[in-house]
Amino acid sequence: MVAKSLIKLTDEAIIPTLALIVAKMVGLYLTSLTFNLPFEVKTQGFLNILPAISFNNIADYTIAENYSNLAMLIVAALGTFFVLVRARFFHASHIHPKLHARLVRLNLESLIAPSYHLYHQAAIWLIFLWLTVGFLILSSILGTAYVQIAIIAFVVAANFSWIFALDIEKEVEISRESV
Amino acid sequence: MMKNHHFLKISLNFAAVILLLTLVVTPFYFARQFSQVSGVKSETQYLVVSQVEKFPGMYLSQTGNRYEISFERQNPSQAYMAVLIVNNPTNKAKTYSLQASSGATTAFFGEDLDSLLTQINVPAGVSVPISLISQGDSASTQTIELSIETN
Repeated sequence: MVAKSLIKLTDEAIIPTLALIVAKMVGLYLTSLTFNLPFEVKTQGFLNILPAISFNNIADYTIAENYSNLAMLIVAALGTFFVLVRARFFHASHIHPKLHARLVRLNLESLIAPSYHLYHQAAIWLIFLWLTVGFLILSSILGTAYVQIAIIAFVVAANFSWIFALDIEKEVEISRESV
Repeated sequence: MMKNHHFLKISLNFAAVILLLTLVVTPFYFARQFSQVSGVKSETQYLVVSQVEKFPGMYLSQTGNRYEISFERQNPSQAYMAVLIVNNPTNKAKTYSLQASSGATTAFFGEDLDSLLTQINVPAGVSVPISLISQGDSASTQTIELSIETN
């Protein structure tokens, strides 16, 4: 009934969603501890069920906000990096025979993934990475985030997208040759 | 029967897209809402952070809601970006407008010289810079008086 790709994308989106939320929370907590920033936990949002960390002043808030955004960026970038490494080296369609044989020998065949799985996963992680870039750019325009982090995020996302495009190109070539 | 089948298919796919979008947007909504500045939230409509110390020869004085900025201009036409930062510490979006004294110096929201905004809508918890542009007066010492109104 529901398109297979949509189910796959939704399935793949769960882990990045949770990872980014946890990164933001852990980032805020660690920043508060590291810089000794006093804070209190309150409730807010719909039905007052969402937790919110309140800082005493804007300076503390800005530090915590920036480092926690950086934590989110690192998690989004690491997730995308992991998927791209899999797409580049452990892609079922073009894995090197020697590496394949070695993985079989080490009983690590599960690392090899088909294009269908990899491309859905990469698409989701790249969407999250680009949304993080957008979020950071918007925050820096509004003055709540450092511009440097937004620039780094943009460079990382652009390079990862380029690597992903190279892999798609390779995949298209392989399927052309096989026709 | 066939029509119902199509309707169900469209509805389910639509619901799946909404679910996917919700999942994608959730971390960013959460990131935006999770941290805030406390204490002053219910007491004041805006917070002003001065950055005049970044500009040599610029001075700020405040009397109530009025801010007076004086500075030495080095060129006939000069812009000073993000001299003040205005933060909306409330839970709701606010519209702020700038009332400034007339003269060679103009104050505006943002940092875009092509769009000198004197009124801006600021989402909850968000900050906007106030910049100055000074031109058209030969005197090097300039003073501007400004106040921020909440609509």
